[in-house]
Amino acid sequence: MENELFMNAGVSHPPVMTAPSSSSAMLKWVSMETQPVDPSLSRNLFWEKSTEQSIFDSALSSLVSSPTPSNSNFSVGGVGGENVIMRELIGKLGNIGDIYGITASNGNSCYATPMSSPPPGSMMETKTTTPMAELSGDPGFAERAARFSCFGSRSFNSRTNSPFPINNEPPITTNEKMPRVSSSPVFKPLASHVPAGESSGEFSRKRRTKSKQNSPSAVSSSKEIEEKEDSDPKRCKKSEENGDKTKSIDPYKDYIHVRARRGQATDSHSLAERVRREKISERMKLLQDLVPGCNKVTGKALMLDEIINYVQSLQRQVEFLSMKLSSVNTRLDFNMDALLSKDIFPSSNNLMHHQQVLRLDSSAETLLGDHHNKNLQLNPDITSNNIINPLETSDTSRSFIHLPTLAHFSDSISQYSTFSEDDLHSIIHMGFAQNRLQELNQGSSNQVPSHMKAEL
Amino acid sequence: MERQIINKKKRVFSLEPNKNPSAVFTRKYTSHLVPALKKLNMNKNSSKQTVKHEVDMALALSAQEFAWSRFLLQKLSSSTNPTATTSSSDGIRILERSNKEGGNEEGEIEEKLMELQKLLPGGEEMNVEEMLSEIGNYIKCLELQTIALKSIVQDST
Repeated sequence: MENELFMNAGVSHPPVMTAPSSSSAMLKWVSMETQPVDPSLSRNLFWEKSTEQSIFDSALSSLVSSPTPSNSNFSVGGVGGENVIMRELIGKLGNIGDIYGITASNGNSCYATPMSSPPPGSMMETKTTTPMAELSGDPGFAERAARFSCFGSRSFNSRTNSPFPINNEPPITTNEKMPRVSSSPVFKPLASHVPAGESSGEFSRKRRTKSKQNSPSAVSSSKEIEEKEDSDPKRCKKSEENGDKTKSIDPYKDYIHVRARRGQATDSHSLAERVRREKISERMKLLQDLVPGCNKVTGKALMLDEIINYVQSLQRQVEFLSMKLSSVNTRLDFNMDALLSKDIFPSSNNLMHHQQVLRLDSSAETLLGDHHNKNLQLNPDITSNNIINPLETSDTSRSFIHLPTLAHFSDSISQYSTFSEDDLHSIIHMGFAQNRLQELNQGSSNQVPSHMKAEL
Repeated sequence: MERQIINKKKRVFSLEPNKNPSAVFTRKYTSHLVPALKKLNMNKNSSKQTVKHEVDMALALSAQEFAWSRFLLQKLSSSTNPTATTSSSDGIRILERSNKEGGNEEGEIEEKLMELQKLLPGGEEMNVEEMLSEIGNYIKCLELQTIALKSIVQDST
């Protein structure tokens, strides 16, 4: 009978869902939960409301139309007449569960974690054994039951009246709460893990921006709304707010779930406010690492002051330097001025090209040398290393020894210092030096990078 | 010659130069700015405003993965006088004004956030959380830009 019902519902089992026991599914979820956040996570953490809604509609319509099966021993929460409906719903909603199963298998989904909070987990264990004994014919059902029983237990415990009247509206609302993203306490370690990973070591801008985009959204999206009261208007409101607030990458999944913390207001406004505040404070922490001297300052206002001052000072510095550069530019004595006035793009002849390359090389190396100096505050070691070596090792550069440009290099070489591996090099392997040398099909240039690598 | 060979051994090479975003940005920045400066110099009509324009343009072009660079590009393309740094003087005035008000803490923080928004190109069109993360990128790019400019100036003098 139950199998009929589920076959009627058209349940399809993706490979993930055909795990033989729910315990293994639990383990899988728990392990998925503890994996670190990565950029693809944010996609999986958001609720697929659109697809879910359509499937709910179809499931519920089929539920209403199908004849009620005979009562079975399936006991969920000990509520009498609703067991049957519950089971049917679980069967129908197995479709939806499979969707989440797919998403879970695709990424490190946090749908893992109904297991994370002990009471639902323990209840789940008890529940999975009993239905397993009775309905062992359908492994998918056991999985779905395991997943949905936590929701069932919560709603049944909270509600005295029937959670599943036949009419469509409340089942939709209650069922929407189902697959539970991990609770906020669970996500805290992940959230703390991500900023720690970001701020440690050298600042990586792209990595930081990506994770900054994703970690706040991941943190907030991993929490969930567990309101017992009006879910619909709150959810609409939340989705509206989240539409404004989230910087979600995927436009379809910009729905954020926040769990109401114990002892705190469960108002939708305050929840949203809390999420927002947490996001802001998290980013302020990241900024604190970035702005020098912000570590001693505590409090948002003072830190914001520091940040503002720092940005203003940087902008003023840039302005000053550009003015200086403009004054220098006019009186700049270009040795290669005439040479560089030629076209710098590859259409020019080899000679010009090399000179341009070497000029860029020198400027880039000076700046990276200064960067090195600034970061590590070493006294510049007046040695001529990096520029000369490419010149020496490549045949092309040897041809430049006779050119007047080399005089310029020998002057600027004194500014160079030894480089640390961070800044490193990038210069020697740098695009515009080596690639162009290789473009011009110099055999020795291909040896240059390998030659330099060998020196390690 | 021997000294150079000896110094060679101290070097450590990065095997993945393109992965370091600071180096990538700096490289892009200089590759935008230096030819532009040369071109400016060739044209012989470089004013202070034009150099600043080129500087900001190089910044915007080198950081195109960030939202503020788009706004900066818009500003630059719309006008020849970039407004990116003129806001700094306004920011100082606004800061003083807000200190005199002495309102409640939340209001102060809000004002400071608004002021920070004014500093960032395009900050006013963003919401607060986005703006804060963009400010981080902006700060880093400004730092790299000052380093690049310093070294270019130093190199030219």
